Amino acid sequence: MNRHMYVLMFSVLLPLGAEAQTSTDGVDTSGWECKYCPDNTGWHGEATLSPTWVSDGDPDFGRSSGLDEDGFYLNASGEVVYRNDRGHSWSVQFDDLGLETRSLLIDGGTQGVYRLRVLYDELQRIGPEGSRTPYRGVDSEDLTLPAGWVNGATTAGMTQLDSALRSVSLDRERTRIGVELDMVANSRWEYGFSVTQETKEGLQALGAGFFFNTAQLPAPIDQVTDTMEAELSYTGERGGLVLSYLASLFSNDNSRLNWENAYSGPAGVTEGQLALPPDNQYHLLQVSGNYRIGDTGEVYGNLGMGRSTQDEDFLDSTVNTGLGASAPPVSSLDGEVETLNATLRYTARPRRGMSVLAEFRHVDRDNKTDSNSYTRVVTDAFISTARDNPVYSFTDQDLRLKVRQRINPDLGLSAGADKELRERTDQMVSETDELTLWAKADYQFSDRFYGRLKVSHGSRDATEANNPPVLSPADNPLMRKYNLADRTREAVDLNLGLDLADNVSLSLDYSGSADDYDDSDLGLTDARNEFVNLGFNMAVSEATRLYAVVGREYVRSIQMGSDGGTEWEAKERDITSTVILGISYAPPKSATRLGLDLSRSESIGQISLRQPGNNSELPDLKSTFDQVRLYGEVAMGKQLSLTADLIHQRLASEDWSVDDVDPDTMGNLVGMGAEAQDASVTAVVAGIRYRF
Amino acid sequence: MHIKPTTIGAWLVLFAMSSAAAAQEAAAPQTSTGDTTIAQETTAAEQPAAETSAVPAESPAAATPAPEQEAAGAAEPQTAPQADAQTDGTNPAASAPMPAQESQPAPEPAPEPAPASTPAVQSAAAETASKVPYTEKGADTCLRCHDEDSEFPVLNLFKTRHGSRSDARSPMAGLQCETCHGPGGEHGVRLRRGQERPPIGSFGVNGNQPAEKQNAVCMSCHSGKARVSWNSSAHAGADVACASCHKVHAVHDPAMTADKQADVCSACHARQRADLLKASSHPIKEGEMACSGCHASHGSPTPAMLKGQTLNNTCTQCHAEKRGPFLWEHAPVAEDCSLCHNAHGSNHPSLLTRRAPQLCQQCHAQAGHPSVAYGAGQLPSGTPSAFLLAGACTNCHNQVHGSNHPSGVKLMR
Repeated sequence: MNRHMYVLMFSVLLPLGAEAQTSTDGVDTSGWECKYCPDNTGWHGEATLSPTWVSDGDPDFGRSSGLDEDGFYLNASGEVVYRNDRGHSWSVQFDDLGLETRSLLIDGGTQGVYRLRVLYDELQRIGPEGSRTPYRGVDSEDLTLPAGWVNGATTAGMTQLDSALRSVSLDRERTRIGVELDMVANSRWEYGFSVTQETKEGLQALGAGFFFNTAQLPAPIDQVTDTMEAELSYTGERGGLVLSYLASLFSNDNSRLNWENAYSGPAGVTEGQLALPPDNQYHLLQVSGNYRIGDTGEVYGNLGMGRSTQDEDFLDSTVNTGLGASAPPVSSLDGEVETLNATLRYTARPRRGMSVLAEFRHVDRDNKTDSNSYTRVVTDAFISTARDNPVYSFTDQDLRLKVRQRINPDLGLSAGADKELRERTDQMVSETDELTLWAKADYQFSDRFYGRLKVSHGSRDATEANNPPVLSPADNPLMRKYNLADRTREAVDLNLGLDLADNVSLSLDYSGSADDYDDSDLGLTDARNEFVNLGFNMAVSEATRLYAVVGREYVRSIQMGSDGGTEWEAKERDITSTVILGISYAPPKSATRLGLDLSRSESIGQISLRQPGNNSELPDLKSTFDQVRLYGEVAMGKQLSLTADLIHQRLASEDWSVDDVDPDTMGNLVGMGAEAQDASVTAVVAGIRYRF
Repeated sequence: MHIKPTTIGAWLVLFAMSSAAAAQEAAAPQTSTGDTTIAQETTAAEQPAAETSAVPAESPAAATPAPEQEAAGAAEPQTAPQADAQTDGTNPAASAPMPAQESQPAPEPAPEPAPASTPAVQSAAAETASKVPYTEKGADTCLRCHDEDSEFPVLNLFKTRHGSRSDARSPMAGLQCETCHGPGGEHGVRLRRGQERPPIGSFGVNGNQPAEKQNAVCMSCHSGKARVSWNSSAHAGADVACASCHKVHAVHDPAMTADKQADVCSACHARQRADLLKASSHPIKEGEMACSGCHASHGSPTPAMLKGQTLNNTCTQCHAEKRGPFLWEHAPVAEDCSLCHNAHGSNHPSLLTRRAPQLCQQCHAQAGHPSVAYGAGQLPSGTPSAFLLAGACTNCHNQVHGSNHPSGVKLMR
């Protein structure tokens, strides 16, 4: 949408203007002077200047705080607000000005007439430490090997590999800038516009190879997503209506990545090329609204029509011109996917203590992209059988019913049924049909003790396609993909709450589920999932609070495989324990506050394999996150206070997939060599805050 | 668009049955009206429900129900959120449930708010005005006690949009404090010795009105725009009160402040809070992302109250490079991101529900390398294998989200 379009739209809509209305409906407010109401007009605000010291560079901590390197920082945050008595206000909020996570928000307007917001926000992601690559030209579309590079059949033969390695930072940074304008035409009509641009820059690791010889490459990220939204809303006596339009335009400055072959084979293959994400667009026209029927009923509906397109010019089938591969049948995909999503809900309380909900949801993805036959050049090495691009479409139709009845003041019962029917094209299973029935009871045992129990049973049936796609190579006919397989699911949820005293409470939450894929010989066959959480809260005094959370999660799955007719079983377990403890002190009538938070999350991942004559267990995957945070603010009068934040954090991981895996550990992979993180950091943030 | 006739039929039958029941109820003699009805409905069991996000994700290792897979009620909170009466805009119990609160007055016949229609605050006031008188001096009556030194300080309200008197839509431009709290003519009077102060409408988990009634007050002004789906949302269905999350007297409502919002949400969504601490997660616990980046807590067309029309639409708001359409699509990617990812956090890289190659081998069993069991023998201490280590399958199949390369059918280009 260009500038002229905006001008036109503003010209049309602004005259609708604000039509303020007020009413006290006969209440005599003549004596309501509001003389004790504080006057907050004029300039107000606060600013905090925070000298900061960081002990070590820590990617995980750096991502969260912007303090990604050791040393000293000077940071500033705050807010400046101006208001007058006519409803005009402007504020500027700024945060982390001295860091790579800085943000700025300008927010203002005339309340009840218009509101304008301008946003700037940065977000960074620090890549793993220790990443290295022999490639030159990093951050470009062409990666080359240094002069004198010696190709090898395996990494062992690449005699220059060690000396050619250079550190590379797989960091990414997002920057978002946006403008939002909301306008109130009158008590019924509002409209709004927003324009946002998000840029993403940096590097990511991409594996790419030549047949079975591969390398991890530093691929450039230089992407922009422009989003525009317009919304018109009407609010009436018995409901509302919202009409909105969204356009999201993605563009990538890099359409390809070429890299030199570090290996001596396949013969004659010196370079490879892969496609980076193509430019694409998404448009959505959406209308939603509700209408109240009688005293308790309501109908809600939403209809969204979306369209995704992508028409980036194709790259050549290969950069290996010596193969003589034919050109693609078309110069670009001209891809188009239309979506139609509709939701219709009815809610009501037809009699006292009873509520019902019925929902029908239709989700349709209609891929209108043409299917053509494409010459396939396998990893720029040789020409293989031509393949037709699949065109995946699907349609969901979900029906959800829920009834809740209050039996007596202490007991409530609920029951429901969820029916989900999904039809797919171009897949081995054409239809899955799932019905879930559930029931729930909540009971107030006493004034201080309540409980809630929910049980559910779901059954999904899969129907194989009459004309399944021909895969090459063919999949094992016994394989059932887990999202397309018959399944039964049993689930239980339990919640208990107990107030031990007026100032002490306990809660216990448990949820568990069991999935059985009885008809799956290969693939996922069994899954268990449990989570239990215990919470404790205590108001020690008016100012002091204690809290604790202890949680444990257990996730287990079993899958079957078949290697040349020899079956194998993989059992995986993920166990996560979480502990959060804290105490806070915040006396009333004071800006002073103190607090201590302790957080710990410890995860263990176990994978064991059973195969005739070859049972093995992979080492445990371990990840432990610890954080201790001591914070405080001490008031030094009405306007001045001193702040302090002491943070110690450690993320220690053990991961067999990257630990001890150097760039040349594997003969057919030139790796990047970053290991699992094991870093701790201490940060001391001292600040002075001034309010005005 | 093809809709199965049976589905439409089921829908129509249910609608008709429910409407008939409603009509029958409406026709039945009312045994109670007005405040009496409120009092009867103000039971402990009517307090915000603590439903559990229960339905596990499709993948077994999806520790947390992924948004789109959270079926009916899945987005409902696990435990009732605690309201913070000390509305100072801070949440000292960061990442932890709020502590128990001091006792509120017992449920009393409370001022009945208006039906959720706009502008109905005044209507609500008019309705209750006939039963309980308003104060003589409006906010000045309230502020004689509720100043900064009181148990329930409220003066920060005047730094918020609710405190504006120039906007006719603002409570303070109408019946001031009593716009929301109802008539305070009895609550605000001078008491005789030993007399208990009559209650006034209060909000939050410990409010003296059921959530439905509390919310009707808020919805009398805020029913439009994103809230058109509120009444049919999972939060409303679980009787979550607006004030359980929002603190309207705070200068900066934590529920609307990026770096505090996760604390508000995780007070109920305990499992998601645990997920956020895992090694791979969106930067939510750090305050760089808010839950509302993906979820519309006031309701949406999706069961898990996602911002987008589907889970994939929601994810590609930020990950637009994975949106396609691609020449060579990966079917589960086009269908549902949560088949492989757990958006709230995972112990595996890239928020994956499981570790590759096992994750991939749950669907791919072709003869050759996809069907091989990779175990300890392929570690660096044995015969290290690129099928197991580093990026495993993605060491070669780098375009798992789709490829636009003419030779990218195997997602390697």
